[in-house]
Amino acid sequence: MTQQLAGMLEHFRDVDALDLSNVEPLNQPIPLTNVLRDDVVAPSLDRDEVLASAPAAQDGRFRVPPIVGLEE
Amino acid sequence: MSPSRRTVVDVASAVANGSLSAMAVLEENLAAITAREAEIHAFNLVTVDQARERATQIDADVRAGKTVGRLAGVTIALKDNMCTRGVETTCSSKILAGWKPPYDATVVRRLADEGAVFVGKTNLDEFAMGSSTENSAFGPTRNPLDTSRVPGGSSGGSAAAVAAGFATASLGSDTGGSIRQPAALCGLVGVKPTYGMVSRQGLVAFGSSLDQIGPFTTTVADAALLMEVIAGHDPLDSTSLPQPAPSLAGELGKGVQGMRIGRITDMPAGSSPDVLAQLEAAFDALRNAGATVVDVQMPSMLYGLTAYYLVAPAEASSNLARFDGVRFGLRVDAKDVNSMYGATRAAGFGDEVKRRIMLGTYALSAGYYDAYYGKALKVRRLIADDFATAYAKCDAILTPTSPTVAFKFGDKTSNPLAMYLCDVFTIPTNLAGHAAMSVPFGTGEAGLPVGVQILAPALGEAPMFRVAAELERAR
Amino acid sequence: MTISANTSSGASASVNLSSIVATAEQLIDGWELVVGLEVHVELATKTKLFSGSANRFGDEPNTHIDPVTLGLPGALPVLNRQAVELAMRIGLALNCRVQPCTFHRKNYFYPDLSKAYQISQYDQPLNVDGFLMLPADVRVGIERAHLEEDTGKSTHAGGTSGRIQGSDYSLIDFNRAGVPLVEIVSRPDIRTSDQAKQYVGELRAILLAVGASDAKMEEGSMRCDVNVSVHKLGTPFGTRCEIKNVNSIRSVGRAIDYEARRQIDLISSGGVVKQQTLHWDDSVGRTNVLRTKEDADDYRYFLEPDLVPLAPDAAWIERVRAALPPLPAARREVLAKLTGQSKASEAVAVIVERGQDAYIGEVAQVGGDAARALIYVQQAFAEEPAVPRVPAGDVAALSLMEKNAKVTSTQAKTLLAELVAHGGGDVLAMAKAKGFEAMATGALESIVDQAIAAEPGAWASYKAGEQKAIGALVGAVMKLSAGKADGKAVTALLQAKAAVG
Repeated sequence: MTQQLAGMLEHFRDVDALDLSNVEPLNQPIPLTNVLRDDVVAPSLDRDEVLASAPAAQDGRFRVPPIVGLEE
Repeated sequence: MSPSRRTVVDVASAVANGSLSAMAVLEENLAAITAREAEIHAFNLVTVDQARERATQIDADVRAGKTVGRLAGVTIALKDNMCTRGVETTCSSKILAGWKPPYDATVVRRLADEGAVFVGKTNLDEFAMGSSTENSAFGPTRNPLDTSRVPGGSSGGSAAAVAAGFATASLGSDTGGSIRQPAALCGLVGVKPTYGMVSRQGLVAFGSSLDQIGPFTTTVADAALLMEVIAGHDPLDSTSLPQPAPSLAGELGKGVQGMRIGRITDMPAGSSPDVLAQLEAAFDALRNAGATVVDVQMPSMLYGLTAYYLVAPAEASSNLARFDGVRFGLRVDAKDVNSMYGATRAAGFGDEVKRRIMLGTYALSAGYYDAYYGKALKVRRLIADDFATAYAKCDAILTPTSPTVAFKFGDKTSNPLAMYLCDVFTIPTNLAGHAAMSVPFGTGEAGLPVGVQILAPALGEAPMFRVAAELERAR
Repeated sequence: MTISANTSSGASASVNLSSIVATAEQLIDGWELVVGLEVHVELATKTKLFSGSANRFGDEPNTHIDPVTLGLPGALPVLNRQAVELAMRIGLALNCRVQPCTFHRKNYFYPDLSKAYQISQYDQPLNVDGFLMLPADVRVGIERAHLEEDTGKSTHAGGTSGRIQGSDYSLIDFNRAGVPLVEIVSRPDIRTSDQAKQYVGELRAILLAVGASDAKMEEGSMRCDVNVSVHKLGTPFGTRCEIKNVNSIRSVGRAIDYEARRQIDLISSGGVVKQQTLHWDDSVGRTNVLRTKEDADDYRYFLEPDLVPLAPDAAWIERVRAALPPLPAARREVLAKLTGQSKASEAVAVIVERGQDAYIGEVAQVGGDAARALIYVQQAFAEEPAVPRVPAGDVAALSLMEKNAKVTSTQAKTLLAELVAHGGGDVLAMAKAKGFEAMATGALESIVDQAIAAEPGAWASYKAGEQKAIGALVGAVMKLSAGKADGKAVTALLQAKAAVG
């Protein structure tokens, strides 16, 4: 897979042929701004329903193996 | 009338006026499923009981004289990347197998509110990453028109379900052609709406700035009706355009007299002659109906492939990070949480998904952002600019939807780049956020359907459907 | 986390020398301390930053969750208008420029980060380029104040004492996930640990004043990360260390003092400060290394495609600005003027922090003595709300009784305690009941008698009806009482005595 990836990345250098120096990036295809919602409380999901579909739960919380080797 | 030829428009009006029962429509579909689903594998899940319950309810409502919706009794299959409350939603991935969302996608709610009957959740390339539905963790879907061939992808199950008469219509999602290409390969109408026209809320994200939900139908009028139901502003999606659904049914009879149809003179090569012949025939048909064909250029079109295969994986690498074995879905236990992530994702994701996550992670990483992701966004701009120039001269553009008719299983699985080339004509629309659709137009190799793609600018659904209806009349 | 380094690395050649220089007495053994702070505050909204589940502290775990909070597949964020408004209030109160801005994804894996990315603001934050004046007129630059979402909470269970190291497993609660935060990043303009404490205190006062946050450090609704470096004057800044988990104003001072000493000792003994993230352990009063710069994550920031840009227009910004209440600095100035105190005085600072400055204004309004009221309120109203239960008129009456020497200051204190205990009352009657008033009147009468004896001519004229003559008599009483007698009471006594003959 690594070789395939390297091949793809090589192929993707085709855009180096383009002069992009004065081109603005296009992140989103729509010109919207200020999409906001009112600060109104909506009901919470049911905890038991949610935890029932979790891989592991305990005391109303999601249970995970010990957190080591990670940084907050 | 064979079940696959029942149309959304016919079913909805017949069920509403009591001349046809929702249950009868459903039972036709279920009979077809019984006959052929084992071979086709369009579905990850057929929701027989819920569908019958729903059909019963609608028939009761009709008998009781209650108002029924615009889609009363219309059977619909949903791509299995749309959340359905309490009904398994897997994205054809082991990592989500068994997951029952606690909420409905907006499109699901809108269809249900109009009386649609959901038959099941359809197969897809895992997380919608693919062009053949061969990447499903649950096995491929076969093309009902020739089962030695793929139905296209990623919404191959949704296309196959309609083509095989398992449902009157279906919904798919289109990130780089995932509705239009399977529609072409299965002989259907498939619509990729303008970005922001249909809510993405509840659609499991692949490439968030590219994804749109759209319909698969057997007729252009059906597609128009479904669009009128599923489109329109949704406050739960910040990228939803703040306007009502377009009125499209009225466009269909207007014809194309006076319209200007663009032909791309510098179109990327590689399309097969049978496909190109049908494209020419389509131009002729429109010309005969009073349209003018004008030459336009899309010099950046070929580079769209690169832009797309960097932008979509970059967004996907972030979107798919949440599948971490903590809150839902698969977990492979391990001694610590970091090992658990690794083991879960290694076991849960298929090769194509892993490939794209790696690609996207790489494209966004600090040392390579400018060389890959940053450049891709600039190419995206060039493509949008190309389109702007072209649409100054024309109202819509015709291209092939797919360079070839449906191909055989395994033809392109060994070479990801060859598979990616399937999307060369469909991708630019997603990058620009414009409207596009595929309509069946004639046949090619082995008598298989050819799809012609109609491209239109953002919010150009009305002219696009005029052209589509004209091609449908001419085919 | 800071986007642009707010202190510079010693390795960098392009480091500029700061124009803010410590005074000789602020130096530590000849070293200048350089401190910048990153303060996270949870906004006082009803709902989360991007979804409608409740923003509430202290409830049962996982009872304020929704698809967005949990990062469920298909869930999409929608920005909370009130969070934006509160963030703008903070920015404007900190003299920032409010500008068009965008949201980015900061990608990293952690079990309490549900989507595996945090939505934050990166190169285009909402508020930039502000400042905060400390009470002692020290100006601390504000680089930015941006919006972002909070994470859930992990509890480490089993093993030893609930710490990450050696725990058997962890439990995750997502109630806090998605709560709106504003991260306020100061410039490295702070030169002493005391200034750092004042900065946090003043920032907290501003946040409370504008109603943006309850700013409770003990509950984590206000959290400080402190960047510390040391260097010799005239040389580039030293390499900084970032101290996390500093959960009280007192800890801010302790952590900085500890870290400055550690760095100075390290350099002095020939060592080199490494760019590190440290964890403050308040129980033993020291920092521990969390990680060094070399293994810093690549967060792969990119523009959040599920959100659109935020661009508050001038009208909105002005509306928010116009609605800002008077800020602590201005209120301290008003209170200082009213009470004749220094605006940097403890009493003025405390009263403004408690929000009881308006109450003192009310006492003065009804004729009370503002200076005395300040002392009363500072001493006796610590447990009272911003609007104390004791009517301002009662405090005014007491202040006049003391001012007019009808009661001694000790007696006034007793009466004040009575007022607080009963939520107000008739101070005159209280004084009488305690026998305070009788004594005071008796003392005054004997002074009046002495004044009559000292000014027989004036007394005769006054008795004969010459009202002007009373001036000499009152003047004598004032002289004898060292100015503590109440002029009205004296006049009343003289009138009474003249009438009697």
